[in-house]
Amino acid sequence: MIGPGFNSVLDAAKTGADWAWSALYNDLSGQVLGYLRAHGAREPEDRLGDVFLQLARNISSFDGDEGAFRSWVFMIAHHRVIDERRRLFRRHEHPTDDNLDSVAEPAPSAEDEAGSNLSTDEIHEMLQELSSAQRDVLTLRIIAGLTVPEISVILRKRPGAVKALQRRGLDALRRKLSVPL
Amino acid sequence: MSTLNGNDGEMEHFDEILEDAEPGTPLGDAVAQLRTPATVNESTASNHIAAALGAVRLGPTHDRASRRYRWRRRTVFGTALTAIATKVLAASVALAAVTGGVGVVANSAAPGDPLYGVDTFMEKVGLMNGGTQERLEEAERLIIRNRVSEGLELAGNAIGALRDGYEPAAAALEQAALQAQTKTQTSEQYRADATEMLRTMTRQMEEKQINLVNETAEQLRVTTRQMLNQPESIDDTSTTCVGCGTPSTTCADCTPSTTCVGCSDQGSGSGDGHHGGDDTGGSDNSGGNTGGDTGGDTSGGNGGGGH
Repeated sequence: MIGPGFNSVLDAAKTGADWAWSALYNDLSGQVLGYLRAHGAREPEDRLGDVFLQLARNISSFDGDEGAFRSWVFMIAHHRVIDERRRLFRRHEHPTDDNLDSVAEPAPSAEDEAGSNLSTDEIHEMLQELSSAQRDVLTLRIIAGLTVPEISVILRKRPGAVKALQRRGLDALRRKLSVPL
Repeated sequence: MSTLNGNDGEMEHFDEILEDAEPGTPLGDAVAQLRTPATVNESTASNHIAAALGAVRLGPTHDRASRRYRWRRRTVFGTALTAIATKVLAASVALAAVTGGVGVVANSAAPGDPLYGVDTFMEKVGLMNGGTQERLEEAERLIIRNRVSEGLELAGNAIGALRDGYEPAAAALEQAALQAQTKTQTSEQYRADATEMLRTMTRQMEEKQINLVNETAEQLRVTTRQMLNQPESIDDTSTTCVGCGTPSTTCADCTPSTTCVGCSDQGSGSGDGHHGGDDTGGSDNSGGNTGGDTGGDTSGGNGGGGH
């Protein structure tokens, strides 16, 4: 989070100020990249670049606080994920979600473990085994840190449905975690 | 488990589920691990930032038609405005002719320069524009010349003189100036960021966005503090201007005239020989400067920026 200085950063970013874009990028890129990897994006770094490019193209029309901005950023990231899902589907390369894990980016740099004996990649693989709707909700909730109302806007689902998906997704994840690999 | 921004009732169920996902439990650890931001390598980051900057400066790509429409509508008033602007311009040209060359040159002087007294005098008489905006431009020039503390102080004083709710900005800049007092050498990235922030503040002041000015000043203070916390010798590769001994990475200070602005009292040194090893120094720096990928003028710096 950038915090109280966010409005100034946003204002400067709209005019193309170098420092402001560095601040936005440093604040958000790690989470967006984590989000893209959790969805098994094939070229997560490239997709991250796409997200920021689109942000830059449309930032002049954005108006709102930092919470709304983060929500917008992850909406763009979510759309990139959906684009990729559709593209793969059209090419019949990976017709179901469940096959995505076989092409999941190995992401060797993400070995930083937060005390768990599972690697981030292994957790991402578990996420691939959830339904895409559950995965959407859990990643937006946990990685992006968005609220249920924000997610319901991005996913175009009712808040009640988002909460149900969240519960089922977490339950499924817990079950998978309790089974040794 | 409260890093998620809570939204009252909406959150209850989620936290309930996470209660038994305390750190130490498999789910708790997995959640914590997912929340750890991924690391983006530096060259990828600077490429992305450079691309974003390019896109912002080009403006929105879609919506061309509507923009053209707006422009056409504006031109009706535009012609009237242009006519007025032309008159104003003509008047200022006439004024410049009266005040003569000295004033024009003096107007771009910074504190410490021989002509600076002339500059401020003419402003007092009311001949050159002066005012906060020009003080901020002078502050920029000082910072570019590595006189960071003086630059920040000048900017702080200029903004403080306005009152009108700009006090927090003045205080922030003053504090930054105090902190920067010991620093005689700064990274090029910092100088670029700091001058750009001053420019941002100038624009925000023109738009009377008082809160934004205060926030930008605060950001500048934070950036300055971060710069100070970085280890010394950032500018190892810098060349030293033989004329004045001022460390200078780009030597932008000194081109194209034969006189180094940093030390104009040294007078007209012979053009090329002015810098210590101008050629080698120059190319060294441009190479060390994150390989300048289509960066253009300001985007050469990398994303690091010490955040």
